[in-house]
Amino acid sequence: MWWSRLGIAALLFPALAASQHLSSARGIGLAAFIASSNDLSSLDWNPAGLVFVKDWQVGATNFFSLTTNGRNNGLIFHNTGIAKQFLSNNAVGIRYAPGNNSQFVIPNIFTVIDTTSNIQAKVDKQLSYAEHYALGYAFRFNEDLSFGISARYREEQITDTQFFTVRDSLTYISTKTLSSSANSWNLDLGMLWELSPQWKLGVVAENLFKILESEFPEDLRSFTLDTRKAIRSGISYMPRKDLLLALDISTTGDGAAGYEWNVWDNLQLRQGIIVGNTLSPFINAATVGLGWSAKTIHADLAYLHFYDRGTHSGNVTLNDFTSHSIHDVEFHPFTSDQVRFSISVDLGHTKEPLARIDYVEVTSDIYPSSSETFAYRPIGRVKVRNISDQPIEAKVGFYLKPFMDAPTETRRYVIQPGAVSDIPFIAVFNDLIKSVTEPQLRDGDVYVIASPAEEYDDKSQARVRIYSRNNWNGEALTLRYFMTPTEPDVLRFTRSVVSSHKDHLNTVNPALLKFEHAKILFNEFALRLSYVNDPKLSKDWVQYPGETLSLHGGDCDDMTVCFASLLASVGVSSAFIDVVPPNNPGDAHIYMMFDTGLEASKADVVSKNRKRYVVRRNQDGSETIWIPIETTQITKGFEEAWATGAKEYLDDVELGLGLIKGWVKIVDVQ
Amino acid sequence: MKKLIVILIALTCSQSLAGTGITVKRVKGAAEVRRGVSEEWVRVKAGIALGPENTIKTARNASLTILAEGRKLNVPELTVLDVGDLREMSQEELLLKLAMADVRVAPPRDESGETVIPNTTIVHGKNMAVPQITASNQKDFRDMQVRGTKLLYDYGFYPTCILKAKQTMLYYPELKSRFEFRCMIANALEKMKLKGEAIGEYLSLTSIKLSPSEREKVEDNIRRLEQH
Repeated sequence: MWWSRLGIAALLFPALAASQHLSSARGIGLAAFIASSNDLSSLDWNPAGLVFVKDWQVGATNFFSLTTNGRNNGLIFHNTGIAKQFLSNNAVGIRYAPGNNSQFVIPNIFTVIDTTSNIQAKVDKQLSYAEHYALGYAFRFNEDLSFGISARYREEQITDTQFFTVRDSLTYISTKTLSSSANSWNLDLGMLWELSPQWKLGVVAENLFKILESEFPEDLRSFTLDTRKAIRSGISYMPRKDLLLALDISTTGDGAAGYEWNVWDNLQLRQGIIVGNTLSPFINAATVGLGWSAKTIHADLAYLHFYDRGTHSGNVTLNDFTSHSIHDVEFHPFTSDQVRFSISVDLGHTKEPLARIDYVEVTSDIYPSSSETFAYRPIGRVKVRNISDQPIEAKVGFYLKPFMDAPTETRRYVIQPGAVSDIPFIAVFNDLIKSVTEPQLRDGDVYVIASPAEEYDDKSQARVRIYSRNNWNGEALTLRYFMTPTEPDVLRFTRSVVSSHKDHLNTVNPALLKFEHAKILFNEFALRLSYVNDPKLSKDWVQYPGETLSLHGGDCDDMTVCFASLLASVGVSSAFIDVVPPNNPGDAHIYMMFDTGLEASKADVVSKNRKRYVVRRNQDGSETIWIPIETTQITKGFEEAWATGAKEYLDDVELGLGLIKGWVKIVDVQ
Repeated sequence: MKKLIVILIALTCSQSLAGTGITVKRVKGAAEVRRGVSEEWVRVKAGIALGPENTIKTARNASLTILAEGRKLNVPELTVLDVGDLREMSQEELLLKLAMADVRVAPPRDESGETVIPNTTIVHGKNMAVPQITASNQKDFRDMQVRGTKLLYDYGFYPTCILKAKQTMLYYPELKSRFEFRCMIANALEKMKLKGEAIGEYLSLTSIKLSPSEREKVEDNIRRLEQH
């Protein structure tokens, strides 16, 4: 425990004193630390600096007090604390500092003089000032601006021995010990503003609020530590990457200046001076320090030397004491030279990030039916900035719980220092997304990974809209994702229909087998289902084939998807024909055609009218006959559905030229 | 961009003549019409109107005279003609239609990276050999269509002549090696000022079996086109 014993019986402290903090060796070494505070000691210097704690930080400080009066208390434990960053922009810190106190002993001697003896009894008065507890919170308002608040719990105690005469059968002198305490919370508000990569400004309103818990009795109140409100400002400047210059000034008339020089990558040299208009001499103290870092461990050593060898030596006269005032528990005119040693360890996600996410954009809503497409085409984009001074290789990860089993990662993109890269990201969804029955909003995690050994360098969130499993985005291209040719209901339907027509199919020319399959399936389809509007009166609502079969109906989208699935389940390829009439887009419509597998040269077998079919080249290069089918004509049977489909195709594609004008699209769904 | 605008204007402005009124002026012998996607042929009578979706056919010793926008066309015997082909078409429109032939091609799916919906194929029936399917009068109908295509060329409907000729070759692959038929396509392309496409057509002719005189003619045409 750090304490001072001063044989003085003075009560008044009329002069000002410099206001420094001694909780960290780095702060002492640099002397001016308001704009540069970035660790647990920010609780004293500038609470806004807590936001620079990377994840977790644990720290401790010890010191030697160097007095010239021969008293040496050895290595004294000063403080330990812990700080934590959370939710990216917030940080808290708490500290326990058993060594942060001062004690003053005012000796009082009671003397009894009689004829035979001269008895003296010591009845010292002890003054104790301590700030053992401190806590703080900081918030990063944006990339450049942070605010913080800290509170220090101050305990002041006076222990006094009083004497009195007891008159009994004998008259004698007795003593009693009286103890009084005064406790309070002192709050600081701090701000840090990064004006540029080189310049930083810090402002602290010190002791802005004081919350009293208890006070000394009236007759002892003059012993209360004189807490002053003050505005302390600091500025730091980095003219080079290896050099930091810092300057602090205070409304109390105090000031400090210092520098920190990176001698090597992990070794820093610091020097500073503490000055004050009311101090004597004006340059009151000098500091020197060393800093050393190895990965997440930081060790600092500092020496504080006062030029006034009188009050700071440990031997103080009455005049000295009465001509100086004390405003701070630890740093006051009677603080002795000292050597401080601090160590701190960063835990958790601690590495300096190489990349930062500037902006996240989700470019596509998610339709569960076509969620597979996001495995190949981007769901969004991330603007990633290289904030290091070296080229980096960055990749982006995306994770949307619970609809993804694992995060997806992009390939690595090379980004030059300071440059921004626009990186598209994809998503691989699990089957759970197919069970979404109502549209919903979800937040997905977006990561940028540039450091080899780190989980991520920066993290952000992307809000995505997930539609119902039956919602459709209206694009013919994605309608095919509603097809489920291997679904049990579909297989059951086709198996039962084909089996029931087995005898007939056995007599069919194999070249016409696909045509016959389609014909039989459609006619059976017609018997069991009927055309109805969307259950939700929305063209963007599509039933899965199993639903259409169980509901015995659907609209054109539903019927087309269902029939195409039935055909696919028996090995017949098909294509959707999506028509959006240019003069009346509201009459948009979808029908289909299927591949008979029949060569064009044999087309006359199914029809001698060339307008009843379409010739398309297959994957193997042969031209085959495709039959257009209007599935809404289901109640009229295959022939009518074919005739209607062929007529529509003739009007839309051959005569209307819709395909080359762009208002007709053919989407293969095989 | 300018080209795109020209194409769009051309597409907007060019409507089929057939769509604006075609009537049968005179009928000699047996001539029939098939409406749209119907399978049925019905006799043609003078004075009836024909729509673009109609197809007309003349029997032996029969002929038709039709009036399209004041222009008179004589359809000779044994000819099949789609009325919708009696229309003007710009060069750009023709190129797009030719490109549409590629659009019609079912694309391979495995290399696209897209999800492939699996097919479950069920095979039924006896394991019998695939018999030759032949349609009756197929050759006759082919020749009637060739005559119809020639008629389009003769009356200057070069774009529809080219398209119809190429379509007909899909149904009758043997036409690919018919020299006069292929030369007609190349000539029509040349008339449409599609020199590159015409040269391509002639070049493809060199891969089929030609007589020396035919080959010489093809080579002369290629040289001539390349020089201009």
